[in-house]
Amino acid sequence: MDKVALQGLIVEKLGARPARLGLRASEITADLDLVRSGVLDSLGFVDLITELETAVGKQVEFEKAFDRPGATTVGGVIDLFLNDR
Amino acid sequence: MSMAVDERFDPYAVFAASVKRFPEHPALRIGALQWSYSELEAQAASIAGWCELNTPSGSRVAVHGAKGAIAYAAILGILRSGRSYVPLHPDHPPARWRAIIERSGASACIADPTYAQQIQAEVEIPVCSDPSGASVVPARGGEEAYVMFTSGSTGGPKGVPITRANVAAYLEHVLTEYRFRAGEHFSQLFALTFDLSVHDLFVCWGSGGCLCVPEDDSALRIPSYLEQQRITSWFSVPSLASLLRRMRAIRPGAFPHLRYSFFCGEALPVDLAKAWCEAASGSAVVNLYGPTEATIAITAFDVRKMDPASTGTVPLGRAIGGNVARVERADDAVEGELLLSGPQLSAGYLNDPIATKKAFVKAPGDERTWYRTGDIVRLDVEGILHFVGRTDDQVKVLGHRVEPGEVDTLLRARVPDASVLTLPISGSGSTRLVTFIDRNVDTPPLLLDLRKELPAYMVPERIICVDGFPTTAHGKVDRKALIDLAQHG
Repeated sequence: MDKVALQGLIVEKLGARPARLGLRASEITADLDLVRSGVLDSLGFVDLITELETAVGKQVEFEKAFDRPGATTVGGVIDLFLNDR
Repeated sequence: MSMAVDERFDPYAVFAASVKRFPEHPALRIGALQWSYSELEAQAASIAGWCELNTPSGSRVAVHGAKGAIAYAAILGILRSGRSYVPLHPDHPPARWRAIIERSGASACIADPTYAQQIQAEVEIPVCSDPSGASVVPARGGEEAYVMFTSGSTGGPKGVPITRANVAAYLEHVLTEYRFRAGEHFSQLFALTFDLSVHDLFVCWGSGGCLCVPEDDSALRIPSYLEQQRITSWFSVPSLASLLRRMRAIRPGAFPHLRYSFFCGEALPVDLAKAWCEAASGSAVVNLYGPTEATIAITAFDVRKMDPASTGTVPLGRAIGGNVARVERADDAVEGELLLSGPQLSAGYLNDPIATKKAFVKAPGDERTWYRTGDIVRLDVEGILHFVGRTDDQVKVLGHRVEPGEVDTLLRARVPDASVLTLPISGSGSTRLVTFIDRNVDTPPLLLDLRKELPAYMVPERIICVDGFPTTAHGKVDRKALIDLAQHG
């Protein structure tokens, strides 16, 4: 799966949540912090990662995954799955 | 409430005793910053001196609750000066700060320099971010320790004043029941606006421990914090443990350093408690229960003594210390409302005699005041209390008490002719709020408005517009149908 496809999958998994906050699809960029923006809470974010693990077929190491800046941005999530950490 | 309380367990006295015994031991650690007991005391003394000079004796002083060193020194300094503290959550909207300052009558606010300008722009009381230079004054006692604000059903926060004697009664029990060692590393995960933080601070400082504050407030980084800080005494809401489990952090033997694990604030699922016991095999695991009105926690249950065949949620246990619990039930009922009394009980709500009269009651032939918790419990044959439900609409979101009526009141002011109902939706180990409105309205602006007035945990996850509320055969709003609509519709 490439970066564009993964971003599409993230947008799909977020469903109507961004729209409920008034965010348009064009505003879901790599810089958007999914937790700080209020789109997801911590539990929702972990659920998103778990759903992506199933979809992508790759398990991430949660304990290390969040020890880096920007971990909860859309770009950070893409990085988590496309780069080995 | 005039009950004999051992003054040695006064919250400032327990800290001062540790300053004498362990002046060079670490008392507070936040990232790279570490203060010894004597350093923390010096900071607290400066703040106490500033309070003496700038605020009326015995007044309330607000603390901006960003978890920087100054907030911890401020809490100690305010108590040292004989005043009481009123915490303001850094992430709550300024409208909430102003409501709390107005209701509490706080005379000043102490804030980290990073936030001082921001808060000064929002409130009309003096804000202090640099107390240095104030002359040091001796510690003095006081009546009130703090005022915590909880969600109120009529549209605003409700203040609960807690005395130093209330806190002392709690500390006396915890510091004698559990044998903490000097040098223990205590977690500090609760917001300073949550009264469970009082356990974090004063159980730690009362036993000569080091309060380890996560540098980053993201719950997602808790597993590495736990490991890096070598936490030995853990205290959290069960929701946080549930999050750790979903992050696959709760594995057998995963927490070898833990000696004490406390949970409070919401129901603790049995399966989660069992998993925690396996992960922290060397730790006592205790389920605590208590409303803010009864100071931190007032019942306790030793999870390791739980029947291995148990399911559902862990029992609330028995009343601790000199406190008593009573179940008010009809003659043939096995369940009833839990009433509490004892030295940890607040005298009532701040400037709200009607709510106080309703919740703090006397029983015929009994001089004691009892607090009606609104919690329905069952008392088993061994005298153990089990949580069953609520008598009202109050719900817990991440351990925080929420009166959905407070959300509804704010929304009704914005959509005057509509019927509004906020309900809890539970699933996957968490509870979220969803609001239903019987009008077709533009919901994102309403949610943005709520974010300006309410803490994030009180803002509904979404607002669903419906043509009209479904009703039951008895003509009442069919809440179950609405919840089904939110979950599946």
